[in-house]
Amino acid sequence: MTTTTTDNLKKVIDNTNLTMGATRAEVEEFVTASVKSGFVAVCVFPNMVPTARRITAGSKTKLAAVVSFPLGADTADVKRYEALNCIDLGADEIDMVINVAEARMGRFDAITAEVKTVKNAIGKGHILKTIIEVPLLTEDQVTGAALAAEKGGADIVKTSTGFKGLKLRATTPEDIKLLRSILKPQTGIKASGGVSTLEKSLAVLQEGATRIGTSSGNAILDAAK
Amino acid sequence: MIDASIGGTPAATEAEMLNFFESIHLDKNKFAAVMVEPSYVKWAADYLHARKQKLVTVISYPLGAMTTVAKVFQAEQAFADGADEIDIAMDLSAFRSGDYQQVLDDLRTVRRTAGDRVVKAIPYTALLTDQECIKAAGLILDAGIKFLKTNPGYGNVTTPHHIAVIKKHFKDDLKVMASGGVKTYEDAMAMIDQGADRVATSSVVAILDGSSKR
Repeated sequence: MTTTTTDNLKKVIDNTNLTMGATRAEVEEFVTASVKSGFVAVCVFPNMVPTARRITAGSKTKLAAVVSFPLGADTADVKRYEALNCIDLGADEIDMVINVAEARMGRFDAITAEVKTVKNAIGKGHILKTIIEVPLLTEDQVTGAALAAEKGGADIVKTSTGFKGLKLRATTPEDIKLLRSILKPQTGIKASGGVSTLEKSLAVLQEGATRIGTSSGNAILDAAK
Repeated sequence: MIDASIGGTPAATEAEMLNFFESIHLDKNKFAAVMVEPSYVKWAADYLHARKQKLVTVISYPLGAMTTVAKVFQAEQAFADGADEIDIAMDLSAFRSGDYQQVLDDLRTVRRTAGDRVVKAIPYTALLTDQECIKAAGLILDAGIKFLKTNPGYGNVTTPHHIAVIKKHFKDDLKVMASGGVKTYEDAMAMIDQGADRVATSSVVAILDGSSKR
């Protein structure tokens, strides 16, 4: 592979540490390595935002925090509050889980409403990614949820939490292909959940993903060198 | 002495929730509490309260990684929506980082939102040593929380040993609910034999069937 490949990968990888119970020292080490590698963003839990902020401040790497993670089973008000709290603490971007039950019931207007609530609260200056949990949805529900999130003002539609407790299947290039075929060109797509190798990363990018969420960012870069 | 939850059906629809409520026969069975996720509290409260059934919901669940102020907001919303009890996930990262003051302050602050209501705290015993279980349980008690829920489920399995370790140390000062991997009548009895005050399960029907065969 080439320098161009690694540079391009750095620009799209949200290097992610969502390890349950990770210590502050572990998160500090992870964020420091992520900043050094120059990833576009590093993604952490809300309780790690202040710790991560001290390291990302002044760097090119944005700080993303997850909201209503991993179940998405909160009211829109709680999601709004948690997102604003993360922004106040120094997060640049928000990765919010939608109400997946509403998607499974086909109530897409409710998803538009909650996404709009959060997007209006954090404002245009902060990227909002909405996790629609593709592995739990039918193709029709994926389409409905993705379009509803886009309509609500999501900057990026993100495929999955990758939460191990739910034993979710991995995101596939086909998932990205479907999303790319329905979303507006200016709406980004983040492939996450089981995207942990260079081969898989290149495959999802080929289908139109604009970001990759992975806990293996540095291993992917190493493989590309 | 059972907290009943749907389990096994992630992002359950309203129809799936109603099927679950019907499957546990609230007309003849009363549970310590029925667990629903925060977004369902308002929707489920009237149904459960009309059947004289208490409702519990979960805070910072299942990963325990929310900030204290967000937990407080979530808990206040849950009580406003009709929750009778809350189960709060402990900040496991702060605990593992040795920041016990943060663990204590976080639990104490969220606990205050509950007034006289039952509050349980989840220390993730499946991920702790025996010594850490006792340390975490002590912090929970110091925070003014009198009830410990061992694990959030999602693959974190509670063993009778966890119950024995905590009950032997704290006796009646701290109630313990065995939660995570309790699927059969035998599982439930093994927890109760070690002193568990409640069990949480998504296998209510199996456990009640097991009990009726005795």
